[in-house]
Amino acid sequence: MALSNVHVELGDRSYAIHIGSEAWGLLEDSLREWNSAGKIMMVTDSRVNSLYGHRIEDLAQATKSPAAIVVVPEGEGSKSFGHLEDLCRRMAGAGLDRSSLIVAVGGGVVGDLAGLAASIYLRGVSVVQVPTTLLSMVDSSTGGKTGINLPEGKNQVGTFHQPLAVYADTDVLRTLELRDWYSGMAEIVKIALTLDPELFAYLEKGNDLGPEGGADRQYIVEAACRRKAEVISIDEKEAGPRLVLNFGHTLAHALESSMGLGEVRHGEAVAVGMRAALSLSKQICGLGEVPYRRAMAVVEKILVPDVRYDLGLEQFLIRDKKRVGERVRCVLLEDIGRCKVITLDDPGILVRALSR
Amino acid sequence: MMQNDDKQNIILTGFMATGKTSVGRTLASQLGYDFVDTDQLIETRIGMSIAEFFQKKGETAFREMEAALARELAGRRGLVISTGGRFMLDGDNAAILGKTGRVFCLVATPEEILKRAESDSHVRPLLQVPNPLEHIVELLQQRKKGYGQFPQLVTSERSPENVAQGLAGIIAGGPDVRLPITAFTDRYEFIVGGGFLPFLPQLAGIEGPMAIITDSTVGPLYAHSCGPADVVITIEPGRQNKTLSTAQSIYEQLVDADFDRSGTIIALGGTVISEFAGFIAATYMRGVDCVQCPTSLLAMVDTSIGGKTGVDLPQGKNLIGAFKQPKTVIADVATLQSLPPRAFASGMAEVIKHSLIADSDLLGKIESGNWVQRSGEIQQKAPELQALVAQAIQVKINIVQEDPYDQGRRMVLNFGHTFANAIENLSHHRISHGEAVAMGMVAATNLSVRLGYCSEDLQERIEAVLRSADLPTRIPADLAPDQLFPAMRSDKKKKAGKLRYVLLKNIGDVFAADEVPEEAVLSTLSALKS
Repeated sequence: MALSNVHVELGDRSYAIHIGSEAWGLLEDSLREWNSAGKIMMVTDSRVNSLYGHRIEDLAQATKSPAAIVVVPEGEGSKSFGHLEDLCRRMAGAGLDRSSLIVAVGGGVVGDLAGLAASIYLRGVSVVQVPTTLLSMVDSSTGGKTGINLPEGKNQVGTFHQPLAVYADTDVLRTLELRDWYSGMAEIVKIALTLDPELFAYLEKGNDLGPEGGADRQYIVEAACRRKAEVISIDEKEAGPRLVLNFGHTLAHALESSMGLGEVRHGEAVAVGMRAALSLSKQICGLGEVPYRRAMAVVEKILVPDVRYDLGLEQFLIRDKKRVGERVRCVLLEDIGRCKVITLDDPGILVRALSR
Repeated sequence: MMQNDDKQNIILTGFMATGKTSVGRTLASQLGYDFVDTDQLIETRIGMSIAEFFQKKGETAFREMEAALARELAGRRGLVISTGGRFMLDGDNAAILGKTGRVFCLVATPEEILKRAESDSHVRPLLQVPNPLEHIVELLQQRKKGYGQFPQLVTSERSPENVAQGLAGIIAGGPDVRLPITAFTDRYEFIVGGGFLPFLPQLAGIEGPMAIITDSTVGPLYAHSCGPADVVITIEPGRQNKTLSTAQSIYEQLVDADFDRSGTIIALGGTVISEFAGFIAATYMRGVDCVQCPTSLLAMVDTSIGGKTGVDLPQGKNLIGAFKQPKTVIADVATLQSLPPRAFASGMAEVIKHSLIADSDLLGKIESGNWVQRSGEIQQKAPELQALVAQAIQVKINIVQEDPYDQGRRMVLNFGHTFANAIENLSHHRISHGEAVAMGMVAATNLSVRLGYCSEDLQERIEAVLRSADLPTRIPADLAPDQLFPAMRSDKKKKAGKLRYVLLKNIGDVFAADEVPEEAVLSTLSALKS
């Protein structure tokens, strides 16, 4: 089947997201044709390297002078200052110059880390994002957000640095762990709920949104990327409209911080956050009973069956202690495909909505 | 800023015990103005203390008296007016008195306010509470916006005389020069003035939290002048601290201070701080606003414009960085008083470079003036210095505007730098950047003469103007050509392995050349050995 191409319109920094089976083939072709004088460096993580090391090696060999390959440890821990500094030093050590290219092959961790390194090395070199997880395909690889964590919080250091192109090969999703699959589906559901009633109807029809449920991967990734691309092109730096992509995220971030990095998948936290946001939307944003039930039914489908969400309220409140009395912006739903940014005087209302 | 009218009033506002009365009295005697303290004047007129009046007639009656006094004082000029704590928080009072002159808000830390209030003889009803410090913090928070509309002067740990002197300096300062900059889609202003640091929040339109990043040389001199900052982060001076690990510690201090995306980072210092704090602003939480506040001549005319930021790696200078256009640049030439003569000369090298690449009128001004920093001299010709700095800045602005991402035209700003970077590095920074640029410009000119692009007279003219600014024109003998040339080759500005030189045909007429014979360069290096 032919690849889908989603165009991200950002003037002279516009780029394409190539989606489908064998997108890596297209990537290999374009690396072969990369005729800048600058060297290429590929960045991946230990898990992707153990599964696809040979493919990455092929990609590295396709370039004019063989690309260097840097492998960082799997997991959120690699989004650290130490790994950023190490990566930058390796870029300098390998003699990368301003015409060089970084190819980030992996999930959100690799994309965020390599994207940040690319954006600050010699005040910015090009990066190509090659997402290997469902979550990174529909979320972090597009939009240019980069970042690392500090002990004090997620993505405290980062930049906006748009990639040169994105290659999302849906074949590699076969090796995704179950929890990672559902984590990605949560972001797809988020986009369906907030921006795409048609995609929502498709997800609603499927009885099983699991990896073996038969959903058309290329279609759902393409639809989600298309909506995200539209939002990014009108609001690259999250000044306004891009905020809708934070549906379910107010609580999700608190949950991720309070449970400790890596304990809960981002999408899992977003799924929980969406339940709270839907509940609150019904209470204060005029979301009708019928769309509420439909939305909840789809969110329920993407909760991983075997993982128990044993979430005490206090876990949310730990993080929010600092914010008592502060107002928090939150995206709520008016109807499926239509949302609104609301400022909450009392963030606790979200937590209470969850416990209903 | 308002025009400097001789007889305009000076109005001091601020919380209790911030020094309004003592500073006002001192300032009035310095300026030869009359002094009015609104609280004391009202007490004299009503024949009782304000506390007593509050009890008998109520607050409303007191506020009415204040309003009447505001109207009365608005009819007079040549006054220093110390106002009651809430006098200027009234919109009508502020409007009517604000028209008659300049308003300054004195600020101090809550601890200092409590200490002063407890040690003076006034009865302060506001403090007759179980926890006065907490009460002060709360009241300051309530009035933050009200006081925030005026330029703020920090009085903590300063004597009234010292604060008054600072104020007198501000009042005597000339009008600001505002140079608009458009770089890509960003528009901002480069504002050049004298003694206007306390206006920083107003000039830059800062509303949210403010974090000052500075070094331990500049910070103690000027950080308190920049209005009340939520956090002041001080690093050790010098390039060796421009590392990622220093960056990490700054990020952590910002997080600890609850500094968020609504905040503004103030880069207060020389070139190292300018590039470093700019980098922090570009990367903290994916970017926060940054106000560049250069305090060295080099930073003013060079690094604070163009949005280049940088951090060093062990492998080289500025290998890490980002493009970050500031929200505003505030260059206060009064800060140049504290610049050591050698650092001043180093900045003059860039001023001269700007004149050579683009502005013969500027070159004329430099040639006809005496631009050497000796004790007190620069201070006395502040308006001329301000004009000179503004003109040099305009050259860089024009070039950067044409080429915001450093892809072509900006290359001319590297005039002299292919040589200079190698000289600076090989001397292990014993030779300052500006001194190396001076030598490098002579070398680039000598090379241009050698290749037939310009006359020897031009080289002589350039050497003369450099000497007049106390800058060197010969390369020290220990930096031999056979060492310098390889050092030049490792420069990061080389294009596809070739060394690139910026050469000169005439004043204002420079161009980049990739094909320069090695022998000519070596001959130039030999010819300029001292």
